[in-house]
Amino acid sequence: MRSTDFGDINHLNECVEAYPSSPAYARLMQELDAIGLAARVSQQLLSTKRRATTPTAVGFGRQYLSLLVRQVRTSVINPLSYSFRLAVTVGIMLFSATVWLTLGTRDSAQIYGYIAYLCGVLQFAALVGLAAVPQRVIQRAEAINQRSNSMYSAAAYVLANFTVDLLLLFVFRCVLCALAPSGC
Amino acid sequence: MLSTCVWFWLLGVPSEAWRFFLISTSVWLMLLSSESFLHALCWSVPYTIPALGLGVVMFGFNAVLAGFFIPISQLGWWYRWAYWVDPIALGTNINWVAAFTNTSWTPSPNFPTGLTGDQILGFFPQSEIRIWVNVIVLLSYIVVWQMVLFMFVRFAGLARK
Repeated sequence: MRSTDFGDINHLNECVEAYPSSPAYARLMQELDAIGLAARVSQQLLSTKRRATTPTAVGFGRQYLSLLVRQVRTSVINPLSYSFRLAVTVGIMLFSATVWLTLGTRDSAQIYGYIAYLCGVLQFAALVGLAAVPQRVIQRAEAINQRSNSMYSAAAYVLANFTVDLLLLFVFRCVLCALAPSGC
Repeated sequence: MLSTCVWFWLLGVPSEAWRFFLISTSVWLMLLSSESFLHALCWSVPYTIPALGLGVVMFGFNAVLAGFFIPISQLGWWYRWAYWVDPIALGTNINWVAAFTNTSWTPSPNFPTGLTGDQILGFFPQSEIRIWVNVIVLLSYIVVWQMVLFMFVRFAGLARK
Protein backbone atom coordinates (compact mmCIF):
# COMPACT_ATOMS: atom_id res chain seq x y z
CA MET A 1 0.00 0.00 0.00
CA ARG A 2 1.35 3.41 -0.95
CA SER A 3 0.50 6.84 0.37
CA THR A 4 -1.35 7.71 -2.87
CA ASP A 5 -3.78 4.85 -2.22
CA PHE A 6 -5.44 7.05 0.40
CA GLY A 7 -6.64 9.52 -2.27
CA ASP A 8 -5.63 13.14 -2.36
CA ILE A 9 -1.98 13.39 -1.36
CA ASN A 10 -2.41 16.97 -0.16
CA HIS A 11 -5.13 15.90 2.21
CA LEU A 12 -2.90 13.13 3.50
CA ASN A 13 -0.07 15.59 4.13
CA GLU A 14 -2.46 17.87 6.04
CA CYS A 15 -3.47 14.91 8.21
CA VAL A 16 0.16 14.00 8.92
CA GLU A 17 1.00 17.60 9.87
CA ALA A 18 -2.09 17.93 12.09
CA TYR A 19 -1.60 14.59 13.81
CA PRO A 20 0.93 15.68 16.52
CA SER A 21 -1.51 18.29 17.86
CA SER A 22 -4.55 15.99 17.82
CA PRO A 23 -6.16 14.39 20.91
CA ALA A 24 -5.44 10.92 19.44
CA TYR A 25 -1.71 11.65 19.44
CA ALA A 26 -1.88 12.92 23.03
CA ARG A 27 -3.66 9.74 24.14
CA LEU A 28 -1.09 7.58 22.34
CA MET A 29 1.78 9.42 24.00
CA GLN A 30 0.12 9.06 27.38
CA GLU A 31 -0.11 5.29 26.95
CA LEU A 32 3.42 4.97 25.65
CA ASP A 33 4.71 7.14 28.43
CA ALA A 34 3.40 4.61 30.89
CA ILE A 35 5.67 1.96 29.41
CA GLY A 36 8.63 4.26 28.85
CA LEU A 37 8.57 4.41 25.06
CA ALA A 38 7.10 7.86 24.48
CA ALA A 39 10.34 9.65 23.60
CA ARG A 40 11.40 7.02 21.12
CA VAL A 41 8.05 6.67 19.34
CA SER A 42 7.53 10.41 19.23
CA GLN A 43 10.87 10.87 17.57
CA GLN A 44 10.09 8.11 15.07
CA LEU A 45 6.70 9.53 14.16
CA LEU A 46 7.94 13.06 13.63
CA SER A 47 11.21 12.26 11.90
CA THR A 48 11.43 12.34 8.12
CA LYS A 49 14.70 10.37 8.00
CA ARG A 50 13.61 7.71 10.38
CA ARG A 51 16.30 5.09 10.48
CA ALA A 52 19.25 7.40 10.06
CA THR A 53 18.29 9.70 12.93
CA THR A 54 16.29 7.60 15.37
CA PRO A 55 18.38 6.26 18.23
CA THR A 56 18.05 2.63 19.18
CA ALA A 57 16.28 1.75 22.43
CA VAL A 58 19.28 0.02 24.02
CA GLY A 59 23.03 0.52 23.94
CA PHE A 60 25.54 -1.06 21.59
CA GLY A 61 26.65 -3.73 24.08
CA ARG A 62 23.12 -4.96 24.68
CA GLN A 63 22.38 -5.02 20.93
CA TYR A 64 25.59 -6.95 20.31
CA LEU A 65 24.90 -9.54 23.00
CA SER A 66 21.29 -10.05 21.92
CA LEU A 67 22.30 -10.50 18.29
CA LEU A 68 25.11 -12.81 19.30
CA VAL A 69 22.79 -15.11 21.24
CA ARG A 70 20.24 -15.07 18.44
CA GLN A 71 22.85 -15.83 15.79
CA VAL A 72 24.33 -18.72 17.77
CA ARG A 73 20.86 -20.23 18.26
CA THR A 74 19.98 -19.79 14.59
CA SER A 75 23.26 -21.32 13.44
CA VAL A 76 22.99 -24.31 15.75
CA ILE A 77 19.32 -25.00 15.01
CA ASN A 78 19.62 -24.63 11.23
CA PRO A 79 21.60 -27.63 9.91
CA LEU A 80 22.45 -25.81 6.68
CA SER A 81 24.46 -23.18 8.46
CA TYR A 82 27.25 -25.30 9.95
CA SER A 83 26.49 -28.92 10.83
CA PHE A 84 25.58 -29.96 7.28
CA ARG A 85 28.71 -28.33 5.91
CA LEU A 86 30.91 -30.01 8.45
CA ALA A 87 29.35 -33.45 7.93
CA VAL A 88 29.63 -33.27 4.14
CA THR A 89 33.22 -32.04 4.22
CA VAL A 90 34.34 -34.71 6.66
CA GLY A 91 32.50 -37.36 4.64
CA ILE A 92 34.19 -36.31 1.39
CA MET A 93 37.53 -36.16 3.18
CA LEU A 94 37.30 -39.66 4.61
CA PHE A 95 35.88 -41.07 1.39
CA SER A 96 38.69 -39.56 -0.69
CA ALA A 97 41.41 -40.67 1.71
CA THR A 98 40.25 -44.25 1.92
CA VAL A 99 39.47 -44.74 -1.77
CA TRP A 100 42.29 -42.96 -3.59
CA LEU A 101 45.21 -43.08 -1.17
CA THR A 102 47.13 -46.02 0.21
CA LEU A 103 47.14 -45.06 3.82
CA GLY A 104 50.32 -45.02 5.81
CA THR A 105 52.74 -44.99 2.88
CA ARG A 106 54.78 -42.18 1.40
CA ASP A 107 55.12 -43.69 -2.04
CA SER A 108 56.05 -41.11 -4.69
CA ALA A 109 53.79 -42.98 -7.15
CA GLN A 110 50.79 -41.54 -5.35
CA ILE A 111 52.00 -37.99 -5.10
CA TYR A 112 49.49 -36.68 -7.65
CA GLY A 113 46.62 -38.35 -5.80
CA TYR A 114 47.91 -36.91 -2.56
CA ILE A 115 48.07 -33.37 -3.97
CA ALA A 116 44.62 -33.80 -5.53
CA TYR A 117 43.28 -34.91 -2.17
CA LEU A 118 44.69 -31.91 -0.33
CA CYS A 119 43.51 -29.46 -2.97
CA GLY A 120 40.07 -31.04 -3.32
CA VAL A 121 39.29 -31.17 0.37
CA LEU A 122 40.39 -27.59 0.94
CA GLN A 123 38.41 -26.21 -1.95
CA PHE A 124 35.37 -28.26 -1.03
CA ALA A 125 35.51 -26.97 2.56
CA ALA A 126 35.31 -23.42 1.22
CA LEU A 127 32.72 -24.26 -1.44
CA VAL A 128 30.18 -25.77 0.96
CA GLY A 129 29.94 -22.35 2.59
CA LEU A 130 27.31 -21.83 -0.12
CA ALA A 131 24.97 -24.03 1.94
CA ALA A 132 24.45 -21.07 4.26
CA VAL A 133 23.22 -18.79 1.46
CA PRO A 134 19.45 -19.45 2.00
CA GLN A 135 19.79 -18.61 5.69
CA ARG A 136 21.76 -15.45 4.93
CA VAL A 137 19.13 -14.28 2.44
CA ILE A 138 16.36 -14.75 5.02
CA GLN A 139 18.46 -12.98 7.65
CA ARG A 140 18.93 -10.06 5.27
CA ALA A 141 15.18 -9.51 4.90
CA GLU A 142 14.71 -9.74 8.68
CA ALA A 143 17.57 -7.37 9.36
CA ILE A 144 16.22 -4.73 6.97
CA ASN A 145 12.82 -4.83 8.67
CA GLN A 146 14.28 -4.73 12.15
CA ARG A 147 16.69 -1.96 11.33
CA SER A 148 13.82 0.04 9.86
CA ASN A 149 12.39 -0.04 13.37
CA SER A 150 15.71 1.05 14.88
CA MET A 151 16.19 -2.18 16.79
CA TYR A 152 19.96 -2.27 16.36
CA SER A 153 22.82 -0.60 14.57
CA ALA A 154 24.61 -1.94 11.50
CA ALA A 155 27.89 -2.21 13.42
CA ALA A 156 26.31 -4.41 16.10
CA TYR A 157 24.81 -6.69 13.44
CA VAL A 158 28.05 -7.10 11.49
CA LEU A 159 30.17 -7.57 14.61
CA ALA A 160 27.82 -10.18 16.11
CA ASN A 161 27.71 -12.15 12.87
CA PHE A 162 31.46 -12.01 12.49
CA THR A 163 32.00 -13.21 16.08
CA VAL A 164 29.75 -16.21 15.51
CA ASP A 165 31.53 -17.04 12.25
CA LEU A 166 34.85 -16.73 14.05
CA LEU A 167 33.85 -19.11 16.83
CA LEU A 168 31.97 -21.71 14.80
CA LEU A 169 34.55 -21.81 12.03
CA PHE A 170 37.19 -22.34 14.72
CA VAL A 171 35.27 -25.45 15.82
CA PHE A 172 34.90 -26.39 12.14
CA ARG A 173 38.62 -26.24 11.45
CA CYS A 174 39.46 -28.05 14.71
CA VAL A 175 37.29 -30.98 13.66
CA LEU A 176 38.73 -31.02 10.14
CA CYS A 177 42.30 -30.83 11.34
CA ALA A 178 41.80 -33.42 14.06
CA LEU A 179 40.27 -35.92 11.65
CA ALA A 180 42.73 -35.50 8.80
CA PRO A 181 45.51 -32.99 9.47
CA SER A 182 47.23 -33.81 6.22
CA GLY A 183 44.08 -33.15 4.29
CA CYS A 184 43.12 -29.81 5.72
CA MET B 1 46.22 -34.65 19.93
CA LEU B 2 48.60 -34.92 16.98
CA SER B 3 50.31 -38.11 18.09
CA THR B 4 47.07 -39.82 18.97
CA CYS B 5 45.14 -38.78 15.92
CA VAL B 6 44.26 -41.87 13.93
CA TRP B 7 44.02 -40.16 10.58
CA PHE B 8 47.21 -38.26 11.08
CA TRP B 9 49.05 -41.51 11.70
CA LEU B 10 47.38 -43.39 8.88
CA LEU B 11 48.16 -40.77 6.29
CA GLY B 12 51.76 -40.57 7.39
CA VAL B 13 52.20 -36.82 7.79
CA PRO B 14 55.09 -35.91 10.11
CA SER B 15 53.50 -35.02 13.44
CA GLU B 16 55.18 -31.72 14.09
CA ALA B 17 53.41 -28.90 15.88
CA TRP B 18 54.32 -26.15 13.39
CA ARG B 19 52.72 -28.11 10.55
CA PHE B 20 49.50 -28.50 12.51
CA PHE B 21 49.28 -24.84 13.49
CA LEU B 22 50.15 -23.63 10.02
CA ILE B 23 47.58 -25.90 8.41
CA SER B 24 44.82 -25.18 10.90
CA THR B 25 45.39 -21.41 10.91
CA SER B 26 45.37 -21.19 7.14
CA VAL B 27 42.17 -23.26 6.99
CA TRP B 28 40.55 -20.96 9.52
CA LEU B 29 41.56 -17.83 7.64
CA MET B 30 40.47 -19.31 4.33
CA LEU B 31 37.05 -20.29 5.67
CA LEU B 32 36.58 -16.89 7.32
CA SER B 33 37.49 -15.12 4.08
CA SER B 34 35.06 -17.23 2.08
CA GLU B 35 32.35 -16.67 4.69
CA SER B 36 32.88 -12.90 4.67
CA PHE B 37 32.66 -12.82 0.90
CA LEU B 38 29.54 -14.99 0.82
CA HIS B 39 27.80 -12.90 3.49
CA ALA B 40 28.41 -9.72 1.52
CA LEU B 41 27.28 -11.53 -1.64
CA CYS B 42 23.96 -12.46 0.01
CA TRP B 43 23.37 -8.80 0.84
CA SER B 44 24.11 -7.66 -2.68
CA VAL B 45 22.07 -10.45 -4.38
CA PRO B 46 19.11 -11.03 -2.06
CA TYR B 47 17.68 -14.04 -3.92
CA THR B 48 18.77 -17.58 -3.09
CA ILE B 49 19.19 -19.13 -6.56
CA PRO B 50 21.08 -16.22 -8.22
CA ALA B 51 23.27 -15.87 -5.11
CA LEU B 52 24.09 -19.58 -5.18
CA GLY B 53 24.89 -19.44 -8.90
CA LEU B 54 27.09 -16.40 -8.54
CA GLY B 55 28.86 -17.96 -5.56
CA VAL B 56 29.61 -21.15 -7.53
CA VAL B 57 30.98 -19.11 -10.43
CA MET B 58 33.22 -17.12 -8.09
CA PHE B 59 34.51 -20.29 -6.42
CA GLY B 60 35.19 -21.76 -9.85
CA PHE B 61 37.32 -18.74 -10.80
CA ASN B 62 39.10 -18.96 -7.45
CA ALA B 63 39.75 -22.70 -7.73
CA VAL B 64 41.44 -22.24 -11.11
CA LEU B 65 43.94 -19.87 -9.52
CA ALA B 66 44.99 -22.39 -6.86
CA GLY B 67 47.50 -23.76 -9.40
CA PHE B 68 46.30 -27.37 -9.34
CA PHE B 69 44.02 -27.46 -12.35
CA ILE B 70 45.92 -24.96 -14.52
CA PRO B 71 49.45 -23.65 -13.82
CA ILE B 72 49.42 -19.94 -13.06
CA SER B 73 52.12 -19.38 -15.68
CA GLN B 74 49.72 -20.48 -18.43
CA LEU B 75 47.15 -17.86 -17.47
CA GLY B 76 47.15 -14.43 -19.08
CA TRP B 77 48.28 -11.36 -17.14
CA TRP B 78 44.67 -10.12 -17.19
CA TYR B 79 43.67 -13.10 -15.04
CA ARG B 80 46.86 -13.94 -13.13
CA TRP B 81 46.65 -10.88 -10.88
CA ALA B 82 43.51 -12.32 -9.27
CA TYR B 83 45.73 -14.82 -7.43
CA TRP B 84 46.42 -12.09 -4.88
CA VAL B 85 42.75 -11.63 -4.07
CA ASP B 86 41.90 -15.32 -4.04
CA PRO B 87 41.49 -16.73 -0.52
CA ILE B 88 41.37 -20.34 -1.72
CA ALA B 89 44.64 -20.08 -3.64
CA LEU B 90 46.41 -18.26 -0.81
CA GLY B 91 45.17 -20.68 1.87
CA THR B 92 45.92 -23.75 -0.24
CA ASN B 93 49.46 -22.60 -0.96
CA ILE B 94 50.22 -22.15 2.74
CA ASN B 95 49.14 -25.75 3.16
CA TRP B 96 51.51 -27.00 0.45
CA VAL B 97 54.38 -25.64 2.54
CA ALA B 98 53.08 -27.24 5.73
CA ALA B 99 52.38 -30.60 4.11
CA PHE B 100 55.55 -31.04 2.00
CA THR B 101 58.47 -29.09 3.47
CA ASN B 102 61.23 -31.42 4.75
CA THR B 103 59.45 -34.61 3.70
CA SER B 104 60.77 -37.47 1.60
CA TRP B 105 58.89 -39.91 -0.62
CA THR B 106 60.02 -43.43 -1.55
CA PRO B 107 61.08 -44.29 -5.16
CA SER B 108 58.52 -45.46 -7.71
CA PRO B 109 58.60 -46.20 -11.49
CA ASN B 110 57.75 -42.58 -12.29
CA PHE B 111 60.29 -41.20 -9.82
CA PRO B 112 63.13 -43.76 -9.58
CA THR B 113 65.14 -41.68 -7.13
CA GLY B 114 62.20 -40.80 -4.96
CA LEU B 115 61.00 -37.28 -4.20
CA THR B 116 61.74 -34.62 -1.63
CA GLY B 117 59.32 -32.05 -0.31
CA ASP B 118 61.18 -29.24 -2.08
CA GLN B 119 60.85 -31.05 -5.41
CA ILE B 120 57.13 -31.44 -4.82
CA LEU B 121 56.78 -27.75 -4.01
CA GLY B 122 58.57 -27.14 -7.33
CA PHE B 123 55.62 -28.72 -9.16
CA PHE B 124 53.66 -25.56 -8.42
CA PRO B 125 54.57 -22.50 -10.48
CA GLN B 126 53.90 -20.24 -7.50
CA SER B 127 56.00 -22.38 -5.16
CA GLU B 128 57.86 -19.40 -3.72
CA ILE B 129 55.21 -18.93 -1.11
CA ARG B 130 55.65 -16.14 1.38
CA ILE B 131 53.55 -17.37 4.26
CA TRP B 132 53.28 -14.07 6.15
CA VAL B 133 52.35 -12.17 3.00
CA ASN B 134 49.61 -14.72 2.31
CA VAL B 135 48.33 -14.45 5.88
CA ILE B 136 48.27 -10.64 5.75
CA VAL B 137 46.44 -10.67 2.41
CA LEU B 138 43.87 -13.13 3.83
CA LEU B 139 43.33 -10.91 6.89
CA SER B 140 42.94 -7.84 4.67
CA TYR B 141 40.45 -9.74 2.53
CA ILE B 142 38.35 -10.50 5.63
CA VAL B 143 38.45 -6.86 6.79
CA VAL B 144 37.52 -5.50 3.34
CA TRP B 145 34.53 -7.82 2.90
CA GLN B 146 33.30 -7.12 6.44
CA MET B 147 33.44 -3.40 5.64
CA VAL B 148 31.52 -3.99 2.42
CA LEU B 149 28.96 -5.96 4.44
CA PHE B 150 28.70 -3.08 6.93
CA MET B 151 27.95 -0.66 4.09
CA PHE B 152 25.24 -2.97 2.75
CA VAL B 153 23.64 -3.36 6.21
CA ARG B 154 23.89 0.36 6.87
CA PHE B 155 22.31 1.52 3.63
CA ALA B 156 20.17 -1.42 2.38
CA GLY B 157 16.48 -0.61 2.20
CA LEU B 158 16.92 3.17 2.44
CA ALA B 159 15.62 3.62 -1.09
CA ARG B 160 12.23 2.28 -0.01
CA LYS B 161 11.67 5.15 2.41
